[in-house]
Amino acid sequence: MDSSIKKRASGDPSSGDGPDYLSVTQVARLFNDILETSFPQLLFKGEISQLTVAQSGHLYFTVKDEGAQVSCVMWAGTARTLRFKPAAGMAVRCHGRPNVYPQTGRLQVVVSRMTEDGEGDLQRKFLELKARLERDGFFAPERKRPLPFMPRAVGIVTSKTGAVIHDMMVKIRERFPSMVVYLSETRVQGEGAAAEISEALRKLDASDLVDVIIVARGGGSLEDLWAFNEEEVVKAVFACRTPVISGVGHEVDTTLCDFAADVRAPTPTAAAEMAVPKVSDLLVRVAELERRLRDSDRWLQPRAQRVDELAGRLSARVGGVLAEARLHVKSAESSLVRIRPDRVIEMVSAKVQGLRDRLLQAGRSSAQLNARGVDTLATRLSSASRRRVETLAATIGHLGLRLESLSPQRVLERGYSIVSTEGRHVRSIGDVAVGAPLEVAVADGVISGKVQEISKESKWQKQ
Amino acid sequence: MAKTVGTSKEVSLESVLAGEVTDEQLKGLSFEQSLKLLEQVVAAVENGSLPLDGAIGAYEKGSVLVQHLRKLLSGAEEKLRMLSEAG
Repeated sequence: MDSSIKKRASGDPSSGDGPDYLSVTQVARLFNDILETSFPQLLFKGEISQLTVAQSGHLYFTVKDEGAQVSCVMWAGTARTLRFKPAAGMAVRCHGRPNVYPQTGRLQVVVSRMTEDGEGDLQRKFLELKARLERDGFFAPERKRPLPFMPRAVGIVTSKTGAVIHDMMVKIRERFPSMVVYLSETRVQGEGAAAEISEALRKLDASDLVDVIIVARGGGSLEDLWAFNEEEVVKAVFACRTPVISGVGHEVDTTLCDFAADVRAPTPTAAAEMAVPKVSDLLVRVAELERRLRDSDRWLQPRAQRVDELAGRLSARVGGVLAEARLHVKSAESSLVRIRPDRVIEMVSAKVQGLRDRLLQAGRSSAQLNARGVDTLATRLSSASRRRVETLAATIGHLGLRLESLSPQRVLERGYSIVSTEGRHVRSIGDVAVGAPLEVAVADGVISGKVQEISKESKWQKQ
Repeated sequence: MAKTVGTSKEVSLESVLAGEVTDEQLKGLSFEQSLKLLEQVVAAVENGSLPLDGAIGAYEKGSVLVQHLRKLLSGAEEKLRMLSEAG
């Protein structure tokens, strides 16, 4: 505003041309200029009256108290962000800028922010309750449990009607069409809602039908969501044996139920998304594992085939040697338990195979080696392996003899006898009492008797 | 504590490789347990250190697990059930 208007408005006599008159428009502009600089932000509270919602969405209303009233306007853009529905008689707190509406000359306040009076109290109550429950450990992070990877069924605690349950079901069907969902219905707002929510939670948890529970409600004001801040609900969530996801309100809304739950989801649909895996992802994972399994099959088959092939070649080539080896081994077999003939055969076979491979190798690499030479080598090989089997068989026979010499019968033949009483060998004088039955085994029979006397003196003990 | 999903008992890779697990036991496993086991079986077979018999046995059990997992993921679209109706 130019300074000349201000000068004229204050009737400055120095201009000398006699009094100047402002146009009405200039007056309105002057008022607005003064209001703007003096009250860039006006905070006031009162009660709404005479509320009108214009077609455009702008709100026209009056805020009054016992002694006065102020005209107010709230533009549609601001009105849309309100967290409550203003109504006549409602106590409110307003932030705004005063101005004069030139067309009517009326003083009004353009309200840029309005909250319900009392919400401040609610906010305080929220913070106090939060601090207390936090102190009592209801929000402890170490108590948070992981969600199941794939629940048998999902439980939802919310209202039976409305968009919330519908949107969640759409999301769950999209991710996992065959997922079973149990709804434990409850009111989510108003008097007694907290008790209902707590009961719905308890019933679902006790049913043992579900592996994860979602507590859900759409967005709203602090007052709308208040039931989810009640101590009763926090404790019910805390007491659940089943992991709980809290999907109460929208991103910006925070409730104490969110803090008590194992997982907090920004919205009810996000909670549904967290509760169930995506079936298509899982099918991809199973298919990938199946492919790897089949691949390993392809890798297995040739391995099995190679074993068969080697076995076939082995038995064809060394069949004769094997038969001979078996014969040699057979004689020693009866007295030997621990040395297994099949091991011997394996050893021999492996040796033969090795020699044969070397032979073939030699045959391939040496051009001078003719077919006749190979035959000679084969003969030598055959006799070499036969000699080896004979040596082995002799060793086995020898072992057999040693084993036999250890047999009790041989010991008895050497003049020793074995004394037993009631089936136990007698090794010490402590093993028998006077009158106990005795059996003395000698090489050609058994002698029976009784203990007559026990003496501590050993016949061979050094004095 | 998080409850275990389903009532099935854990089945170890060792018992599968030892041939101690029946197909019926495998079909009683939860999705998560089956998936974990299948991953172990595939890794064991791929690794190539199993004896041939063991590898073939493991391969067969792996196939049973694949079928079981597929079955768990399929199924008709579920309707919303009311807890009050569940009894």
